[in-house]
Amino acid sequence: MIEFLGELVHYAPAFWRGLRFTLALTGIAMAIGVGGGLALAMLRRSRLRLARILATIYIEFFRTTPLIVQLVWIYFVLPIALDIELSAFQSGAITLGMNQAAYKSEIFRAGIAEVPLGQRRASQALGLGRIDTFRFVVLPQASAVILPLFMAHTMLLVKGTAYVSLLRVPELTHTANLISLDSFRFLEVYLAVGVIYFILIYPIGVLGRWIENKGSHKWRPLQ
Amino acid sequence: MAASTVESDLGNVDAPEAQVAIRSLSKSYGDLNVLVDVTIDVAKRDVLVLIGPSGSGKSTLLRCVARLEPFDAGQLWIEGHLVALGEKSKGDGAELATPNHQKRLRKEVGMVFQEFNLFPHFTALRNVALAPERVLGLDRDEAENRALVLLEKVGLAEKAHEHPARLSGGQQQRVAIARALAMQPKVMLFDEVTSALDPELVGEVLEVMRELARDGMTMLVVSHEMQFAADVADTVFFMDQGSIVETGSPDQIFHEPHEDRTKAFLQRLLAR
Repeated sequence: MIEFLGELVHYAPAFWRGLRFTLALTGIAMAIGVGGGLALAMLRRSRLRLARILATIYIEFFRTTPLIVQLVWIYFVLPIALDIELSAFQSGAITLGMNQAAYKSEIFRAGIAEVPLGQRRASQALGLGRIDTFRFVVLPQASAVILPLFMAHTMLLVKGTAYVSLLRVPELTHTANLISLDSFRFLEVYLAVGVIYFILIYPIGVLGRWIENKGSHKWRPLQ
Repeated sequence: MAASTVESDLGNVDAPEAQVAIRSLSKSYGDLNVLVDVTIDVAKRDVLVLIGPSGSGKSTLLRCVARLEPFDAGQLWIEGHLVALGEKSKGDGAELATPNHQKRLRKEVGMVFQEFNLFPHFTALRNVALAPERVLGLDRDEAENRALVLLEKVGLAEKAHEHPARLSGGQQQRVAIARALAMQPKVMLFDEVTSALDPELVGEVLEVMRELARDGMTMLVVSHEMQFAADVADTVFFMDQGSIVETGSPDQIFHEPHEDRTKAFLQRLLAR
């Protein structure tokens, strides 16, 4: 086993490619997830009933169906429905992003609800508009509240990219699959890929705790 | 704009000259009448104090004047312009100021809250500078200079770079006053601003308010600080169950109240 771990070095370029795909999927899904999640959270607070209903349907759809089902749907159905072409990578990234948006919007909503009404009143009384109030008053405070949950959820996202292997996108898990079929060394290959995931994900939790301690302690009330 | 004549169920009404004119304002939540036909004129440099039991509608009235809450009927005039109208008073013929004009007039009213409501993630300086920067369009240096001058005025220049969590309640409330003043309002609303403070911190906040009154600020104050009211108020209003029960000089209200409800309330207040 030890000598094979050494031989794994031959597969380093493949792992490297897999890592890049995993990171790209994570990055794109994060961007869609944060942007879409914020938009959905705001829609759910909208004065328009229809906007609230549509946002709720979207969120519940993505929360009540398995990610794998969503992947297949968006890969096979969306191109037909919208008459567009989507590569496996594109549909994987879009699915992850849309799934993220649903969950992140719930996190954002919880964070926004935590900001006391008095904060909004004070901001409004100063003449700040809705957008400025959100940007300067509500969002920074909500962010601090949701940070631990946000980071935990981001860790889930990195792991979630593994599902995209189903569409044969050569990210880490699919790469591991190919290498193990090539070498018949399933245990060693999956050990190696597990370590890579760990190295990728563990710092996110550490970063979260660091920001939590660093960022907001100055404005937390002294106990 | 010259005083315009407005047709309404109040008859022909000239635009009031008062800095703030609250006319026949009513508001209810379902069956609960929070405000019943409240009319108050706040003239320039007036200091008016509202007293009354909790739930009497004082705070709701201030929030209506600050336009943090809508009301059902009546009119709100600021500087002779109609800035808000109850749903039921629409169609009276009174003409609202344009939305832009309303926005501009909104800045003429500053408000300070019982719970301070400072922004906890900003320093005292940023708390004060934010609105001048974002709403008045001052650049950062200008806004922060203005903020420093105001923090100096409330005696907190040396705390400019502290976050609210590091300040005492009295200091936080003084920052909140500076923050409202930074918009250079013509009228200041104070909503029980000393009620959440430890007794030994009340004095420093009242002192700032006394100074404002001396400087000629127009003030509408909800407060149970009788000594303060006696010293600075021009008129005291006693409110109960949403309406104004009695109006008079502080001396008259506190020493010779006419209404039984006023007497009962003052007795309870003194017995505390």
